[in-house]
Amino acid sequence: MNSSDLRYLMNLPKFEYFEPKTIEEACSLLHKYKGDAMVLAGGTDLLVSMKKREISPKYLVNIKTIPDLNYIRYNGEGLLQIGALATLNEIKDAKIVKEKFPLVAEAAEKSGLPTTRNVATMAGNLCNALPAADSAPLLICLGAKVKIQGVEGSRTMLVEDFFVDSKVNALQNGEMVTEIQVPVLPDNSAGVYLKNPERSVTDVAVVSVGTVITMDAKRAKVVDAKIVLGATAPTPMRAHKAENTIKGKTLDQELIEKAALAASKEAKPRTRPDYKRELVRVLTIRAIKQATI
Amino acid sequence: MKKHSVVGKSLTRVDGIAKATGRAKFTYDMELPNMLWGRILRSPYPHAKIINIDTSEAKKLPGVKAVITAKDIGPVRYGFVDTPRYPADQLVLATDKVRYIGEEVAAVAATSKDIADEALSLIKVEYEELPAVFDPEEAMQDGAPEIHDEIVPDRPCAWEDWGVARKARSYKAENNICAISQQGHGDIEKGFKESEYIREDKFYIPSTSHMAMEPHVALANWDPSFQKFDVWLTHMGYEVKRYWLARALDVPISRVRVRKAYVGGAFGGKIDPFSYEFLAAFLSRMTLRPVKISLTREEVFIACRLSHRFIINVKTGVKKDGTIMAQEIKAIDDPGAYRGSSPVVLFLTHGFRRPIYNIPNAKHEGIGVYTNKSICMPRRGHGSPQMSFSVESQLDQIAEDLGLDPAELRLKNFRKKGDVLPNGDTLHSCGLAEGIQKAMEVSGWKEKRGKGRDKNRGIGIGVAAMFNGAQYYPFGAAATMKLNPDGTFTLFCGAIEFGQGSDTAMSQIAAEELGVGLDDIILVSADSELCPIDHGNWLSGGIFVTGEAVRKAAVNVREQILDFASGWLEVKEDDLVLKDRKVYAKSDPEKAMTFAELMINSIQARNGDPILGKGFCKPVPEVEFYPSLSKGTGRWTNAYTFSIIIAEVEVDKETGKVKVLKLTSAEDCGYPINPLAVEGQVESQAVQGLGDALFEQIIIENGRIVNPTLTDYKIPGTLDIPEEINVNHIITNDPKGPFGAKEVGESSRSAAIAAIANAVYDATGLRIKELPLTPERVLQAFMDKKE
Ligand SMILES: Cc1cc2nc3c(=O)[nH]c(=O)nc-3n(C[C@H](O)[C@H](O)[C@H](O)COP(=O)(O)OP(=O)(O)OC[C@H]3O[C@@H](n4cnc5c(N)ncnc54)[C@H](O)[C@@H]3O)c2cc1C
Repeated sequence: MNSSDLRYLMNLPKFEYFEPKTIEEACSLLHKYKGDAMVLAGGTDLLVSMKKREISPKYLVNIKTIPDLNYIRYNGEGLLQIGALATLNEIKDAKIVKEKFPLVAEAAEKSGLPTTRNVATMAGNLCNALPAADSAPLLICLGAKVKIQGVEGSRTMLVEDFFVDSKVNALQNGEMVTEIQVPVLPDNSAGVYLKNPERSVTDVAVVSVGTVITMDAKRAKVVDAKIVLGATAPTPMRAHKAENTIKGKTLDQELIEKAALAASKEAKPRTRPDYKRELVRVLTIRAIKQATI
Repeated sequence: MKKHSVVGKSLTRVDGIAKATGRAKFTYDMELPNMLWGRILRSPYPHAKIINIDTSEAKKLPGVKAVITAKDIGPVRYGFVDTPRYPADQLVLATDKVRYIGEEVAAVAATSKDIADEALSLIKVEYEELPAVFDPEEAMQDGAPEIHDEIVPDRPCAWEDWGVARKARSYKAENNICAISQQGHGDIEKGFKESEYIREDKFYIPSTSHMAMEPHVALANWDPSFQKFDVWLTHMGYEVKRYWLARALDVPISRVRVRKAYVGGAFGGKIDPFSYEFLAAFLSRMTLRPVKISLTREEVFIACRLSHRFIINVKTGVKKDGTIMAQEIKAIDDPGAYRGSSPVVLFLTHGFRRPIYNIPNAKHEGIGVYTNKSICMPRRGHGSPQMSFSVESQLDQIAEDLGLDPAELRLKNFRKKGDVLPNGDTLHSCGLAEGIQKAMEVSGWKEKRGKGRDKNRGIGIGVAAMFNGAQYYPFGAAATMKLNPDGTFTLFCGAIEFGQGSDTAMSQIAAEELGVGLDDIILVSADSELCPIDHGNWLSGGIFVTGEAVRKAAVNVREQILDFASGWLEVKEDDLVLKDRKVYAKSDPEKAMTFAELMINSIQARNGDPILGKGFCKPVPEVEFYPSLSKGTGRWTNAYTFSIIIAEVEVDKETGKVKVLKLTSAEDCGYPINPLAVEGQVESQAVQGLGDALFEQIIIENGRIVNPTLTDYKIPGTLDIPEEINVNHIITNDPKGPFGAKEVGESSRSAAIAAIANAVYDATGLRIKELPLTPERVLQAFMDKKE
C-alpha cells in the first residue's frame, strides 16, 4: 500500500496549466485536450481530488483569468444571472439576491463553510455533480438553468437535467458552464432547504430535502410543488410522486405524511437505505411544513 | 491547612506564550540540515505471505538515498508487552508475512517527500494472499486462520532487562488467543445465590483513534563520531522509547538521546514503540544523514494504534434495595494482528473498576484474540471507557428495573476512604460520596431525572476511577535541581509536556517548596540525557509520582538552604523563612540573605558546594517488584482518582440526533495543583467522551479501515460541545500525593460516555448497548421499538 491507496493529501501532481483570456479560448483548449483537460474555478473540489490522486488531469484550464465571468445581476425580466465565477459568499451577500431571490441566498449559504464559500463557486458546485451538492436541490426546485458554452455555440439546460450520474454532468467535449439562470419565484411561493449532517458542523448531508411550494391566492390549495432529494440517489432527484400527492390539494397533516412517505419510497439510496429513507420522510414533512407556514 | 502561594493557583502555563505565538517547536516542525525524508511502504492485504520484494527500481530513482526491507535488518521484534509469559510479537518490518492492512513492509529515505513517495511506488512486492479473520469470536474457533506461528524469543525480554528473574518463554497462540486474564474475589456463586435480582447484558465497543493534533513523527540523527543517536519523537515518556530503540538498533542505551520537543497531544496513542521510529534510526545510520518520517493522518488511523475493541458481557446480582452482591464479567478484547496492550487492558478493565463499588463477590474473565486488523493500545483511560460504559449502563438499567434512583443506587454501593481493595491497595482518599452529592445538587438531578421524556430530554450519570501511576516497571521517577547564581533554580525532570500542563505543574510544585515564584523555576524537562530516570506520563502517574519526586528534590534543596543559612545567619532552622529568593529569620527579618548570596557563600565556605538537590519516588514504594497482570493480584497503585459526570441531553426522535446540553462533573483529583489545568483536563475528557458516546468509531470492512480521514471519522465539532461544562473540585487531600494531589487526566472521559448513554436512556427509554450512539443507531432503536 502506498500513498495513493491511503488517499492523503499529497503535493499536486504534475499538470500543464493554461490561463485563457476568453470563453472561446477556454473552450478550444478543452476541446483540444478532450478528456485530459479540466476547468479550474475555485478549486475546492478539484484540487482536493487531485491531491488525493483521485483524478490527475494533464491540463488545467483556469477560467478565473477570463474577465466578465464574475457577475450577479437581474435582467429586469424575471431572471437572475450568476456568472460562473461568482463565489457562494458573493451570491449569498448580493443585494439583489437577498431581496428578490432569498432561496438562492439560502442555497449558497448552505453549501459549505464560510471559508470555502469565499473561493468556491456555485457553478463549480453544480459541475462537480455530487449527489449531495448542496446548491442543487433548491436550484432545481426553482427551475434554474445553466448556460453552456462550447466551441460550436451555446445552449441552456435545466439544472435538473444537468446532473447525469454521480460525478457526471451533461457537459460535452469542449463545453463549460458560463452562467446560472434563476427565474423569480412565483407569487404565493415559499421554499426551504433542509440538510441533515451527522453532526452539528457542516458535514456532508446524509440526506437533504429542498422544496418550493406555490399556493393559490387564498393560500388554501397547493398549485405547484417541487420536492428535490439530495444524497439519496446518484443525482439530486425530484420526488415526483410526493409532489403529485400534494398538488391541487389542501394540506393537512395526513396528506403531508402521505407525501413524505411517497418521497421516502422514491428515494434510491445505495447505502444505509432504511436510515436514509426514514430521514427523507422526516425531512420532507418538515420541509413541506416550513415552506407553507 | 497551610496556605499555599503557588500551588492551588490557576497560574498561566509556562509554555503558554511559546505555544500561543507558534514558537514552541513540535517534532513535526523540526528540520535538520542535510535531512532526508523517510516514507513507508505498507501492506495492502490483511493477511498474506511475502514472496519477494524487489527494490532495484526504487534504488535507481535519483534522490533516493536508501531503501530498507526486513532483509537489511533481520527480524527485529518489539512490543509494548515483552514479559516472560508474553514475548514481543511485532516486527520493525514484516519478514515472511503481513498480518494487517497498513503493516510496514519497506521504507525509503530520499531528498524530498515526493521522491520518497515515488520510490515507494517503484518497490515491487509479490504477495500470496492468505485467508484472514476479522471477528474475534470467529478467530477463536478451531480451524480459524492462524495469524502467528510460535514466537521464540532470541534474547532476554524487557522484564528480564528490567530486573525480573524469570526467563522469557516462547509463545504459541492457541486459537489465536494472545492474552488471558482471570481475576476475582469472594464467592461468585454464593453472591448470585444471595441476589434478589440478576441482569445480564452484552455490550459492543468499537475502536477509536486518539485524535492527537500532531500526527506521529520521528526524526533521528546518527552521529558516527560518537556512535550515538539523537532522536526527536512525539511521545509520552522517553525510557521505553530509548530502551526499544537501543535494543532494536543494537547500541547501548546511553547511545540514544531522546531530545525534548513539544508534543501535540498524545492521549495514550504515543506510548507504544513504533516501526517508523526504528526505521528513521536505521535509515539515518545507513545514510549518515538525519532522517525524518512524518506520518499522515491516514497513516495515524491505520498504523498508529487504536483503542481496544471489546465485547463485554456483564452479569450483576443485587438485592432489591440495590446492594450489589455479585458481578461476573466476560470480556473479549480484539487487539488486532499483534498483541498491543491486550494483557494490560484485560487487567485494567477490572482494575480501574475495583475501587468504585464494594462488590463482595466478583469474577472477571478477559481474553484477547488476534485478528487481521490494526493494532490496539491504550487510549485515555485504557479499558476504563469500555468497561465503564458497560457496567454503568447496566447499573442504570438495574436501578430502572427495580424502581430505584440510579444515583442513589451508586451512592449505596460506593467504597469509602480507608477501604482496602482485594489486592491490598488502600483508598487513602476517596471523594465518591461527596462527589455524587455535589454533582446531583449542582445539576438539579432530583428535579430533572425521569421528568423530561415528553420534551425529549434526559439526564444520566456515570462514574469512573483511575490509577495514579502503577507498579509496572522498575522505573520510578527522579528529579534534580540546582541553585543558580541569580537565586533562581533549574529543575530537571523527565516528565513530558504533551498539552496536559505538566511543565507548569512541575514548576509550581518546585516553586512552592522553595518559596519562590513560578518565573524563578527554569525547567529542563523530557530530555533523556539531561534529566534523570522517569517512568513516563502514562497511567496517570505524572503528578503523583514525578510530581512527588520534584517536590522531594525541592525539599532537598530547601534543607540545604536552611542548613547553610542557619549557620551563616546564626538563626535556628525552624525560625527561617524562604520567600522571594531570600531566606530570613521570622523573628528578626533583618537577619536575611538572598539566595544569590547564599550560593556564593556556600561555594566559598563549603568547599565549592553550589547547592544541588535530588528527589525520587516510586509508584508503590512498599512493593518490590511486579504484581500479576493475568491474575490481577499484588499491589498496583498508591492512590485512585474518582470522577463523576452527569449529562443532560436532548434527543431528536425523528432523526436520531443526540444533542448534549450540559455536563456537570465532580472530580476528586485530591488537590488541584493548578485548578484551571484541572478544569481543562476534565473539559477535554468530557468532550472526548462526548465523541466516544455519539460519533467516534473506526469502521473496518474486510480488514480495511474505511474511514481513515477526518472527513469520515467524526469527532465533535464546536457546535456539538455544550456551552456549559461545569467542573466541581472535590478536594480530598491524598496523604501520599504532592500537596495532596492525585491525577486528573484519564477518568472523567469514561464517566462522560456512560453519563451520556444513560441520559439518552432517560430521554427515550432506549438502552443502546453498542457505541457510538449515532443518529442511525438511535433512530433504528426507535423504529425497532415501534415494531
Ligand atoms: C472544507 C470543504 C467543505 C465543503 N462543504 C461543502 C458543503 O457543505 N456542501 C457542498 O455542496 N459542497 C461542499 N464542498 C465542496 C465544494 O466547496 C463545492 O462543491 C464548490 O462549490 C465547488 O466550486 P469550486 O469553484 O471550488 O469548483 P472547482 O473545485 O474549481 O471545480 C469543481 C469541478 O467542477 C468543474 N468546473 C468548475 N467550474 C466549471 C465551469 N464553469 N464549467 C465547467 N466545469 C467547471 C471542475 O473542472 C471540477 O471538476 C466543500 C469543500 C471543502 C473543501
